[in-house]
Amino acid sequence: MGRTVASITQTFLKERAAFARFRRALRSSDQQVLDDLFASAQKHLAAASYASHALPFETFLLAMLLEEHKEVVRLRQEITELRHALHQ
Amino acid sequence: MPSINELYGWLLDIYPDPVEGVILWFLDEDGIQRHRLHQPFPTSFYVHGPSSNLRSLWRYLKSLPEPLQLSRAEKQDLFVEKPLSVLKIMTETPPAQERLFNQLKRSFPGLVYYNADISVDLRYAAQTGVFPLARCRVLATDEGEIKTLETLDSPWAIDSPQVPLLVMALSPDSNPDHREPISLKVHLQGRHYTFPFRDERGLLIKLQALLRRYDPDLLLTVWGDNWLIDKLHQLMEKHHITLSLNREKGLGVERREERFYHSYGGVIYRGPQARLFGRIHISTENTVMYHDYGLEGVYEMARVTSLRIQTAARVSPGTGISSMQILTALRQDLLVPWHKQQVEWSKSAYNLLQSDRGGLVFQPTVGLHANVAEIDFISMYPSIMEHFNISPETVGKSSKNSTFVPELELNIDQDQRGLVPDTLQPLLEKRIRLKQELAGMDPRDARWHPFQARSSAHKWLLVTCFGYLGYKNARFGRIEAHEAVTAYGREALLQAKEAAEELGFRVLHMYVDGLWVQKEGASQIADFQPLLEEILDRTGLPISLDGIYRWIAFLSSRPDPRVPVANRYFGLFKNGTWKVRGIEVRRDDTSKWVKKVQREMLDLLAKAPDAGQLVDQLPRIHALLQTRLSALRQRKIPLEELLISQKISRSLEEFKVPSPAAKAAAQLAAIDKNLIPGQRVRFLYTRGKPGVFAWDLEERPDPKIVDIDRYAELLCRAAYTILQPLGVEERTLRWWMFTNAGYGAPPGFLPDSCSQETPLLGDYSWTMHHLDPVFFSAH
Amino acid sequence: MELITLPHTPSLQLLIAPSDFQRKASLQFIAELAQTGPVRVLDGGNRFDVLALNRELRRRELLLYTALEHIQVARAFTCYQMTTLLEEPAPQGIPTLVLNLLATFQDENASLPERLRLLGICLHSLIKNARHAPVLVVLHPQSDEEPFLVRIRENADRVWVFESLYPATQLTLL
Repeated sequence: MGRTVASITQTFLKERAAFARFRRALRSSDQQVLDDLFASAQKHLAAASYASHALPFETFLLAMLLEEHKEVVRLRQEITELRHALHQ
Repeated sequence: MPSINELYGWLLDIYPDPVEGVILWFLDEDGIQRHRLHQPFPTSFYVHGPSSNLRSLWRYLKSLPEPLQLSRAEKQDLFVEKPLSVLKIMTETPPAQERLFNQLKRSFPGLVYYNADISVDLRYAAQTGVFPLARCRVLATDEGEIKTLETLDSPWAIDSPQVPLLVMALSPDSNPDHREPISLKVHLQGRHYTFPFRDERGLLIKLQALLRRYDPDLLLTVWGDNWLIDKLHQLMEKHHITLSLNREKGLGVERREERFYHSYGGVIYRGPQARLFGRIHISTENTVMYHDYGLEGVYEMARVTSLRIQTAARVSPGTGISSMQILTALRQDLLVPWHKQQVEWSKSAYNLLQSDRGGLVFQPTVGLHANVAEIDFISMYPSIMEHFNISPETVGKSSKNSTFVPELELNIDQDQRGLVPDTLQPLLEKRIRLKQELAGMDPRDARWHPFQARSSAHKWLLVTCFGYLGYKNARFGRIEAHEAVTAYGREALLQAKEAAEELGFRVLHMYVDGLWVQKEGASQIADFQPLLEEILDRTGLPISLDGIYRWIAFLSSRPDPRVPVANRYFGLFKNGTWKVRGIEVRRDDTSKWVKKVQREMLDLLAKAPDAGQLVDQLPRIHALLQTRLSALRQRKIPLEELLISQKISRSLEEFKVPSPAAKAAAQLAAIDKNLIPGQRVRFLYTRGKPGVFAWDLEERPDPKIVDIDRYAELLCRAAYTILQPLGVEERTLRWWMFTNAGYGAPPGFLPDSCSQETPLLGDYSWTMHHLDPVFFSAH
Repeated sequence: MELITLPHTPSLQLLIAPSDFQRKASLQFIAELAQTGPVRVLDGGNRFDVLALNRELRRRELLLYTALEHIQVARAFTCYQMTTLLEEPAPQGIPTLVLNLLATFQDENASLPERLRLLGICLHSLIKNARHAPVLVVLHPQSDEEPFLVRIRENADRVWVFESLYPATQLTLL
């Protein structure tokens, strides 16, 4: 039976494609960073699907933030460890 | 008064007869004699509609010359609250019923028909409880008329005895789609014969002699449906020699046209069919899942669905499940609608957004992981239907004990047992019992193979019954029931995740009905037992430990390594068996040679005692790749092993830029070998234009035209799939494979011979190597 | 030429347009109707793109979830289901949009006379419903749907046909 509501993957690809012009006008180095952001949203498609938010892009933005913050936490931890090692 | 004979035997075949009603063939208990018996079989169907229309139908039927019995009846339609008042029409035989219904549906299209298009095997099974290969006690007259039939078997017994069917195997020596066969190989009772097609008369006479002498129960052919049976017929007509293909005299071969249809985004091709009467014809290339479960699986499909063996071999699992539901309905005296009438209930747009979704597919934590357990819900969706009583007539119905589906605004009635769960229950129980038996069985046990095959057959039926619930033409389907199942599925998977995390496990991956978990210090079955019990306790659904991996690698997407892919992984279980998904060795479009080398690489990896020592296998893998590549360059690989086989996705005119498969198909079309979408084409990659050579052209290709570089590239990709999780970068691998360099150093060392530009292993792998034996990916 | 307007009074209207246009137009109609009250959508070809609708609703700065609750959707996947859906009595005064009515009539499992018979029943139901509420049927005609289309056109109170404003091919730089 054909699905009426687009799947989360289809939705994600569509939302990403909607920024194709934005991406095109970025510097190549910035394009890489933008791709990273979308890739980090893609890691949480299952959760976004389960959430079934009426405007999925909001969920994607949150997923990007989540991955960003994860990285911040990881870096903070690493700095603490490095500091610790330096002071020993 | 005619004397009555008693017979104990197995049911082989059943089909309608315009005079005698129904014909049944039995193989008697000693496995020697076959009996053709018959029984009158008056057949009924029902019509519902406005009483004025029913009255004119009644008048019309009365005017017909045929003997019909008409009466009024009250019958239950599953989707209607109160019993319906219907007109019951009874004909003398099943063929008369079929003919009459075909006439009525044209003349009185506005009426609602029930039990109108049910095949005789199902009708008979509903009345008598008999099913194909069931052991029966039959009382029949000297003339062969059945007076009493008693079924001594149950389709749900797991240890049903092997029925000693006499099988005659017939296989042409080449695929007729590709090359006209030269001879026919016959295998029967341990003897082999080869009859050349050139000697047409001789072939017919010898074949007929074998058929007469042995009278086989089953003709097991290859390309029988689409070629061999037709070919034999042409020869019979040409030489005026009759082959006793049927046991039933005076009947021809029953044919069905080929067709293709779209399913789950792919094109499925179903070949034409040639069925026999009294003798069973199974054409292996046209038997669904034959490669998976073989004859034993076909028998099992027939036993549990009650469909004739020849039908069971050829129908999709969807039709199998539908037949089982029809049988349940007939036994409960429920009306079986001809068309599905009921429609989706109107729901709010918000509700649609919540309900129109599938199972949860997560992205795994990419990389290599040691001591991982895979935990699966056993037949998750069917178990959900059974456990929560999900059926088209129970959803959306509130009763005293109804349950509320998570996420959806939907009740499920628990007071009345649903038709779908009722049908599934014995099948699920049988499958679980078989799995339990198999878990403790030595693979050398004689029962091991048949048990495996039966379990596979059940698996297909169970997998399909969920999709069937939402299928637009399913008689006992309802989209809301389908949606309820996926909602419960998501809930169960998340409950399992929560249970795992609360018990200190790390969840590496989740996929619809399974999860992969890991915990420091957990590596034995007992370590995961408490988790299984906790999940069972929370969800109420049966769950099992699929196995513990010594190590498993989850892979990322090929175009974008940042993105994990849900169904692309390979892992080695502690018992030494592999589970591999989505990589080259599992793909149908990989050449044999690439598969073989990838398999060899995996074999080398299997030698490492634990994940930490996998890297030690790299020098051997390097040497292996070098050897295989040099054999390729020296053109020592047989061309057959380089063949690529791909499905044609659409017709040739529809391609804007032809794919290699389309180019190969075009080459075949040029010599009038036309393939249709869904069929496969085999070809070699060649140098220059057009870049491919269709394997089934008349002439053989010159081995020199093979595009060696292309195959080397394909191997490189397959090797990268395996080596990437070990930290080998693609450029390093290319350097190993294509610069003729020796391995020389562990990953990360800079060999003297190369400059800074030479591709090297990334730092990543170097640090991995020096980490502890358990690998974690960056997360 | 005239710009299409929303049907507000009981009538049977037909919109014939290419796929892209009708997709956009029907979402805008649904969004606009959902702004003021309930609306009924019968979907014959998996056309109800709820996520695009959500964007449309947000663009209009509407209360998204309230609007979504205003919209009642029912889907048909076969011509029999479409017939049954239309036969169900429509709530008085609530506008109905029928998306891709003919898609389910492409079904080769039913014979042509059978499908025409079912379409007859559908039309009868549509006309009946249009006495009490506005009904807009949105179609994206396929070449082989001509016999069906003719019968619907004959029965519609008003037919909107899409006309392209721009040249069909894009001009290129010299």
